[in-house]
Amino acid sequence: MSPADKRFAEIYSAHFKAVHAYCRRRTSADRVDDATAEVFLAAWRRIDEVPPGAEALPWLYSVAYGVVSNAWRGASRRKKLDRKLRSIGAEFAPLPDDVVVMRQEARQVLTALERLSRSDRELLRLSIWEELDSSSLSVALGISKDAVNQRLSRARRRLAREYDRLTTKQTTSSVAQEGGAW
Amino acid sequence: MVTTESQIVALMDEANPVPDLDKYQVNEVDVAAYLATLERRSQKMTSTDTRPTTEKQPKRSMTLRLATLLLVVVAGVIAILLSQSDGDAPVATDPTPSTSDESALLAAYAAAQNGGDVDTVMGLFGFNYPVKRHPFAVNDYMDSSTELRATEALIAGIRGSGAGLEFFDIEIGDPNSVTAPDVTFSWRFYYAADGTTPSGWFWERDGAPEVPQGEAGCIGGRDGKAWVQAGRFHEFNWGFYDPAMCGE
Repeated sequence: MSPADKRFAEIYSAHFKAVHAYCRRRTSADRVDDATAEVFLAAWRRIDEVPPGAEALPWLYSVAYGVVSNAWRGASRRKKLDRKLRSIGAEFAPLPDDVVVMRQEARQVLTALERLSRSDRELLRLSIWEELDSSSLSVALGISKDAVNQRLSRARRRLAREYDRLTTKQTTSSVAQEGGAW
Repeated sequence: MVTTESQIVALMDEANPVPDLDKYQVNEVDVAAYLATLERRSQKMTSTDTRPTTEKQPKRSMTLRLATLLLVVVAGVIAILLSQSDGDAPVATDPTPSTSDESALLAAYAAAQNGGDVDTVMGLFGFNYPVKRHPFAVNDYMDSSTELRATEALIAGIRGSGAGLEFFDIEIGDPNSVTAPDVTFSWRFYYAADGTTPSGWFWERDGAPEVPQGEAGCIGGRDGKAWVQAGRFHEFNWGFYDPAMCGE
């Protein structure tokens, strides 16, 4: 085994599960294996670019973000095409967010999350789901730690605001419906 | 009610589809086997054996054959233009396309519009949705500085409509480049509702015009100039330029 392959093997063994989970959190179950394989294919091809030590995983996440983003774009196009080509029965698997059973509040926070910008969403997911600290976020997102901290705080506030709007609207709607029954 | 930052973080944490990595079940990984797979895949990607041939292609209708042929013509036109675009790209003084370019595009569009097998290209390059398939090598018009090679890319033509215009997409996928936004990109040719008059073309992503990295200005470009993202292509001058699309 060459030194490059040996290093790749170490990275693969150490981070496969985390990258797989990253992909699982962002895409449907039937695409997770392919997405994970794409991430490590990139790592294998670009092994010289993979940073050493603790920065390897955030680097992999940044690649994974690209892979998953591409899948999202593909899914977006597929949805449009699906409407045009429904006659041939094209159907697409739902995202994990659609199928995970969770409390209403948690589902609503995901809905609120979707109202944020893509960069805010990824920042929050990396921070909360992948539990990256500001240093790792800096590597994953290619921005300074100061910028990470500022953006993270803003993103949390935006998410809370969207969540409040969503829950307030639903509460109002619910009250209106109950009133209508009278 | 006002939700605090800590509350929203807690809620989002609760919504984590994979809350506990230690308990996350994934299949056992054999690194040596995976490395062998990567080697095989790499060899496959660089093998000319994967180039579509007449014998290997499924039986297709005459219409689809015609569409494929015409798209090759389009690709040839791009090849010529790319070959002229090394170094400083010439600035087109007349954005009006030549008759031959227009004819080829219109013919390709009409052919795709009127027939061809609706096919599904599964997985190979990320096109796992129904498309009208026109697989052919693309290296003929790829500059050598790009990462795309003949056996590593595929062109898919997709016809659709939107905003009162018909469009015809050509997409190219590069399985070797998995860092967005390089993976898939597309040209979108727009046609007026009567299906006869090209009204413009420009980059799109997620259905919205987008300015490629490092460039400013409208997509489709001034002077009929178009740019390709992330430096994967040289600048080249081609296409149908509609000032209205650039807000002029």
